[in-house]
Amino acid sequence: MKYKGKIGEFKWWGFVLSLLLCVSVGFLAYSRFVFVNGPTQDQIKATADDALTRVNDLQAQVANLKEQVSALQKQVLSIDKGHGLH
Amino acid sequence: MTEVPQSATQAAGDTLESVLASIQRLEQATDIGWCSDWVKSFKPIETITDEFVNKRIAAFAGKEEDLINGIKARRERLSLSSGITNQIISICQQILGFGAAGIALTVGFIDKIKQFSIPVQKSLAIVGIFYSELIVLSLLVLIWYMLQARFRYPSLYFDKIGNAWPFFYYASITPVTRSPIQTSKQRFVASASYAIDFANFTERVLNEKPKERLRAELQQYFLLMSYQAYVHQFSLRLASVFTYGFLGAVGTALLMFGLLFGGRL
Repeated sequence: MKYKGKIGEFKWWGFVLSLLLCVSVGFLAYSRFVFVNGPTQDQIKATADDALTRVNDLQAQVANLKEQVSALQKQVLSIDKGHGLH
Repeated sequence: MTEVPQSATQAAGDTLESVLASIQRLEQATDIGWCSDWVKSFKPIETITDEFVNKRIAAFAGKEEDLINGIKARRERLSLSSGITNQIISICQQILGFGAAGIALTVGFIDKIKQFSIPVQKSLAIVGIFYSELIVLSLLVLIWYMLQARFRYPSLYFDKIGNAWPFFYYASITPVTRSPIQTSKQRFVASASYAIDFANFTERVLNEKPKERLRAELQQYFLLMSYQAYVHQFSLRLASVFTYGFLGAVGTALLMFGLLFGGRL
């Protein structure tokens, strides 16, 4: 047997085999992806602002409660003095 | 171009047909397994071929110099390099280089992808798959190329009908250590081998007869033609692997984009 031009020609089965391999790998890889929408920048900013507002409100509530506690402590002290405990 | 004279006469004894028949019989009678020593099994075939060539050259009645000049002129015209292999390797190197940069950028910005719409995310995924396939193809082509570059041609193992002694070092140079760092003793031994080889080589060249020169020229001419076949076929196969893979990756990307825009993905 001697070399002929046919040996260097492209074979149709080469393309088919390559395409089958690439398509199967491609779809296998694609099936592993999970596509979700994350929050937008505006949503993130709105959430952050909301959290900041709630923190400020809580801080104000804490300050208010502290004032009430100190007022109650003063009342308790004055009552104790009237009964002669100090 | 010098014309090769047609005055060669038929040798007495073996004819070409009988030699070819003997070689074929030996070939069919030899059982070569996966890990057999094929060189040892080839020795009888090499001997028959060597004897036939020697007989034909001994019987050659024309002018050796004319034939040698004709063979030299033809040998110089043999094309021994492939045109497309270097281009393919260069493309694969570029693909790998850009692929590495792409991976680094992807790792850095992957959390931002969620901010795109779902169709855009899917498109980016398909582009990523396409380029990944190109990267795998490039690696495969480079590995294939390295295997071809390290290929040990069968003629390297021939004693009598491989590389002719005036044209290749196997027949003339004694093996010595090739370590880049050598001791004094190693250098001394290598130098002594050099002196011995030089003396033998000088004797051989000065005593070379015209028919021996003719044999060497003919042998090397044919060996280069065999080498040309390997180089050419290696190049064709490398180009085929690359083309099949590249079109496969492009076809896959087109199919996936088609399905995406058709609402099937």
